[in-house]
Amino acid sequence: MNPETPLRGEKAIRKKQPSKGWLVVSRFFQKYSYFFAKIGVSLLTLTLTTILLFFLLRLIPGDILEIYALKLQNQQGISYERAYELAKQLLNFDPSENVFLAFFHYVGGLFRGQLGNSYLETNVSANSLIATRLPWTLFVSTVALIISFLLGTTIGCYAAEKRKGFLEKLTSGYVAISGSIPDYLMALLLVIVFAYTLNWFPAQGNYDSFSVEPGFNFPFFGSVIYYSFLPILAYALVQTGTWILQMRGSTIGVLGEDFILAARARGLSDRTIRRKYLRRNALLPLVTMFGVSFGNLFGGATLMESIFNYPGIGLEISSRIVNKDYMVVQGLIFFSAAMVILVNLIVDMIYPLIDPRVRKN
Amino acid sequence: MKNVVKALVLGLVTVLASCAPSGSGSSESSHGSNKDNSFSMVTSWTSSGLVNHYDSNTSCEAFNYFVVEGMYRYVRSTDEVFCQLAAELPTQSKEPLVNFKATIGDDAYAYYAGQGITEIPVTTAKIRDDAKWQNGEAFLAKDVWAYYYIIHPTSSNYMAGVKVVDDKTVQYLWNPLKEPSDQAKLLLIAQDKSGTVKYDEFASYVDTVYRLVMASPINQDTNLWGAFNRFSTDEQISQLNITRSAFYEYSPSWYIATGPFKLKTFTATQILLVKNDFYWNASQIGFEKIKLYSSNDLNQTYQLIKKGYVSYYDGFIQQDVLQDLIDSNPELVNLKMYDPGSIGINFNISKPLFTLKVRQAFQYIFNREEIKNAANPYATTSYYPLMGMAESEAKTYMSETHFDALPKYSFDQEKAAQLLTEEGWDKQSDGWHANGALVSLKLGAPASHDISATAAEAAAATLNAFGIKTDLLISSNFYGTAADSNQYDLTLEWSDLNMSFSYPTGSYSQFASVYSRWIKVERYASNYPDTQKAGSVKLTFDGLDGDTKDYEFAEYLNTFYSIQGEQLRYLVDVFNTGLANLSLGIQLFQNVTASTINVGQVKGVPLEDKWSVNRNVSYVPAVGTEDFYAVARTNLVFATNYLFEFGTYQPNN
Amino acid sequence: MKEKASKLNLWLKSLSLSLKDFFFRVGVLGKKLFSNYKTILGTSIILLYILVAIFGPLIFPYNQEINMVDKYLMNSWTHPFGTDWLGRDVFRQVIAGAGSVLEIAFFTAAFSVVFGTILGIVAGYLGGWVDKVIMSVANIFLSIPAFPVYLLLAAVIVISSPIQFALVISVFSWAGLCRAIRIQVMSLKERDFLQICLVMRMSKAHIIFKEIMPNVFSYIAINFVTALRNAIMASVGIMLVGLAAYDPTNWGAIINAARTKGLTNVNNIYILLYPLVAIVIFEVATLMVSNGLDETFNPRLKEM
Repeated sequence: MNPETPLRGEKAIRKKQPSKGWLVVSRFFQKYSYFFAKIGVSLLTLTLTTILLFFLLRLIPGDILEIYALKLQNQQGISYERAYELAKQLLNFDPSENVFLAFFHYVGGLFRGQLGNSYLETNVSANSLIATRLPWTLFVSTVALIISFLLGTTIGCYAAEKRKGFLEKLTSGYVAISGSIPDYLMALLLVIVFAYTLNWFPAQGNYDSFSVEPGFNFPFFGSVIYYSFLPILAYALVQTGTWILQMRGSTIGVLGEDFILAARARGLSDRTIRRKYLRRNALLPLVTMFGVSFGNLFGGATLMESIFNYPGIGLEISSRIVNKDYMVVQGLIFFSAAMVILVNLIVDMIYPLIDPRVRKN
Repeated sequence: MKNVVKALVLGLVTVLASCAPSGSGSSESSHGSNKDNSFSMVTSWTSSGLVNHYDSNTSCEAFNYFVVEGMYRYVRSTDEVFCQLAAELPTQSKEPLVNFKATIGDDAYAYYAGQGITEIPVTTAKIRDDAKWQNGEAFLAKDVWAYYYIIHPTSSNYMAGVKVVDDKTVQYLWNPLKEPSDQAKLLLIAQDKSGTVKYDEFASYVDTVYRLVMASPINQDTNLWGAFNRFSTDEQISQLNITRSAFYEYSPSWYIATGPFKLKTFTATQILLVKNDFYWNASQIGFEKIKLYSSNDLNQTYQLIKKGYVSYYDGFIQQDVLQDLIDSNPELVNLKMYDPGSIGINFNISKPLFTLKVRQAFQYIFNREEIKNAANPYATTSYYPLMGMAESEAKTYMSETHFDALPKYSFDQEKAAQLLTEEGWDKQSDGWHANGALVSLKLGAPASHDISATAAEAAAATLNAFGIKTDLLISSNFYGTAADSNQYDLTLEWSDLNMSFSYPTGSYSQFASVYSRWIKVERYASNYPDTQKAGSVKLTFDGLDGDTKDYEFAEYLNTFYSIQGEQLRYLVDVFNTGLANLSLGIQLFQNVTASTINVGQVKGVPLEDKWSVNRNVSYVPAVGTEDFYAVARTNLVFATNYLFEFGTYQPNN
Repeated sequence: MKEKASKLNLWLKSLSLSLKDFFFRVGVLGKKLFSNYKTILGTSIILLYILVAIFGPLIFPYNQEINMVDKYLMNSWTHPFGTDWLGRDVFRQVIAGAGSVLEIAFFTAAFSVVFGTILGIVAGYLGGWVDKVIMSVANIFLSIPAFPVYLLLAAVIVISSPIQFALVISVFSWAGLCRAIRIQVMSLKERDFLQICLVMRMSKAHIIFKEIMPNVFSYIAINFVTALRNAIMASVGIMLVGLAAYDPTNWGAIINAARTKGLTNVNNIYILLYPLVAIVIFEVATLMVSNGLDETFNPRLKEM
């Protein structure tokens, strides 16, 4: 028998056996299938969101040319016809372009990293706006979020434990009131008291451009921090209440668990219980909320920014929506949505690591 | 975690403590005199991306008041003309056509000569000897020439060309077949910002456009208006657009302007302007700095005014707030002046419900005096219908007999009910019914304009109390778009408004292009063969006093500048009477606007005899009086840099 | 015949027994609920609000006509809350607005909580592709900002009923709760007592309602309360976009109008405070009820 020619059975078996490379890859996919599935879902969501957004913004009625012409007419005191002509020249945008074609252009631009150019102002694009305005929003919002999260969860934990007592009543009162008052009123109140009456802090703006030069110098940093104090305080005051509430609810849920009872039975001190068992377990559902909140930061808080006249991304988005600056708004919202989805994805990925009970078998 | 927090807080406090003084030390002047010779105001601008010239996408209203200039400038609402870059008022003359053959082009010369024209109207203007650009270079006639040929402002529609006589003399050559009246000529030039295109800087763009314009064929149709009477072919138009777009995007290294102040810092929330030392009248300019703040929230703005951070605020302030501001800051003064416009209710006549008689009935439903008191107590109530211009302008431009003959209404709800019943409406227990169904209307108003929004609330309440169910839709965005797309039955905003100088064309063209769309007046199709009428409003009015001729709105709209004297008066009579008889809208009141000035910071504020007695000056000067002109000058939107240029305003220190 | 009669008798007897049992259980529950002072206080305040909403406009009818003579009056017996910038009585405005505000707030909170909880439990419990689809949809609603959607809708429809209003607002608020509940459920699923339930083959419904719900109840209650407040503020935003008719009696609208008219005028601050206090008290009441319910259903906490 010729050793070259395989036996009938062998041939069949060899055909079935896949190559080594494929084996490695498929095993890799199987092992992390959970994660890849999640990433796939996120990409799908992102795509759907982009498509929805694009057509949504297009559907809002209104002739851009007309709106821009009216604006020009008001600004320059010229006749409407002249303004309309000027608008046609100034806008590097063709409103009669086919919607689907525009969509393809847009997606093409996305892949090249261009999030969208403004048709209203020539050297402005979503990328440039993100670079200049987002850092301010993130600065204030992140600091405030962290402060309110830390404060809120700590206080919430204590309040849940010590059900009676002065602290609990105080926090309940604070939560109830700060939760019911609209956030911009809180900000307004702060501004009236601290900026106008006491003159301790500036009422609006992000730094004093009349006296400091932006750059890596101490006066600039000082001015920035000085001007950001009230906004951060406002954001933090408003959000702490929510965190306290959530943490309290979650802690109450955990307090009812058997293992807490068991720990007490074992004679562990309150402090140990709080540190080791209570807080960590109660924090778990709050992690998702933290993720969602952080993701939302990238969209900016419009009303607060408007009251403090803080040049962040929220103000930018809302004013450009009004001016129907499609491309830029799309880019900015796409970015914000992508961040939300990304952060949620990260939270989903990390969560099984923190809470082993959620791991897929 | 706790230690980290502690450390953070400590660090923050230290940093704050060390820099707090420096943060507030730079502060704007507060109560008391002007310590740093600065003038501050609240304004708005496109805040991202600065392009260093006026005719670009960067726009800041306040630049009109401090930074850019033209040869002349008119004061809106009074039509006073003053010189900015020009040395004196221009001279008008008629010169032989042949002298300007080179400037207007051989083809233009042939065309006009062929029409039998031998003389061409010329306006000669001299530029100040010491007029300079903000970088120190002299301002030349060539710069004016460059402006007209690349920007094509409205005035160029009536011109045949612009000639550079020498470095400091410019001649405007008017189209002999479409010559405007002398007053119109001056006003047309006075709205051009001719000091914004520096020839050296933009030479490549200007030259290209000039070539294209001169290569464009001469327009033979007397009913069409285009820049220098030339209409470009499609190919030329696309070339023009390319060059113009490049021009708008090009950003020079410094902000091209000639005014008394120049741009120093431009951020999203603050702008700093500093004194231009090359300004011809720099010795008279006392202010060293202009600080511009932006504000998104009216409360913030009011606080800025109250605390003395702001030297000037333009616009209407609600009565109680104003009283509070005046009472708490003893240095604030509020002067009032007429706005060339009226607030009113416009009908959407495409709704079959609004027949002529119904519209006339509605005129009696509203207590106009009370609505005026609710929205703007300083305004002047008007009992007229929409007539194409505000009451004060109508009085100026109409003949007395016909002004008195205009339909005038009153607050008489019984009469309204009677007229409605005659038209077939029927009042039942749950409201008025027409054609068998309950009448339910939608009233639209813009949320961004407080006067309109408040008036709209009052109007809706009146209608509901009268028995006509009305839903109030206040929209903060796309108000105009919604009105356009037929959403509202009634709109409350301006009924007659003049956006430029008071020549009747201003408010008629605003009506033609904006308000007539919301009223849904019938229009010619945009591809109508007669190009003058294409896209325009379709309205014809009867002649007056036995004149059997018909006057079509679209035919006369563009020729108003050329008509003057008695003929102008008669035409305005015809138009106003015609529009008023159509009852397309209800004029509620003529608006009055205000300027709030901090006299502790600014010296030289006019009407001192009035405001030294009562700082909240409620006296609105009548049209044509000395005070009428003086008070209009304090409104920077109307008068731009009048009070700075000649050194009337000085820092008060 | 006799058999039928006796069968009927038996059936009637068993019915009456189960009814008695039912009422007994309700009685016990009621006693449990109302033994907690918080719940009593909270519920009574809410009931008061509902009464005011129904009967208030009948006793104190609101006249929307403007009356400039009476502009900005201070409190008096005829005008307990003073008058606003158009001379209208603020007290009657607040009462007139109670009805629509409460309706919108309740329905919105109810819709978002119901949608969020159901979808969250379904997603967390069932897992698989159902989970993925629901999560994608929730993510989309979390990422798309509400404002452009409202603008778009404003061009197409005008909201005319509180239920429509509630639906529009709740569309954007259910997603956050959904995510949180899903995670909770996913973690609960792996716990011992649930495993036992599965082993014992208890029905899915039983598991969901009896085992999972009580554990996420505190959560739901808190979200309900938050959703109430957000609903009131969102309704103002919708009115300002022109999506719904501007109702000057809506508490949020009064607050917003007073703010935009300028708080340098002290009268505006007062006008702003009245509906604000109304909202705050309402919120506090709902918080108390939710806390009370919490304590009732989680008795282990009381022992701490």
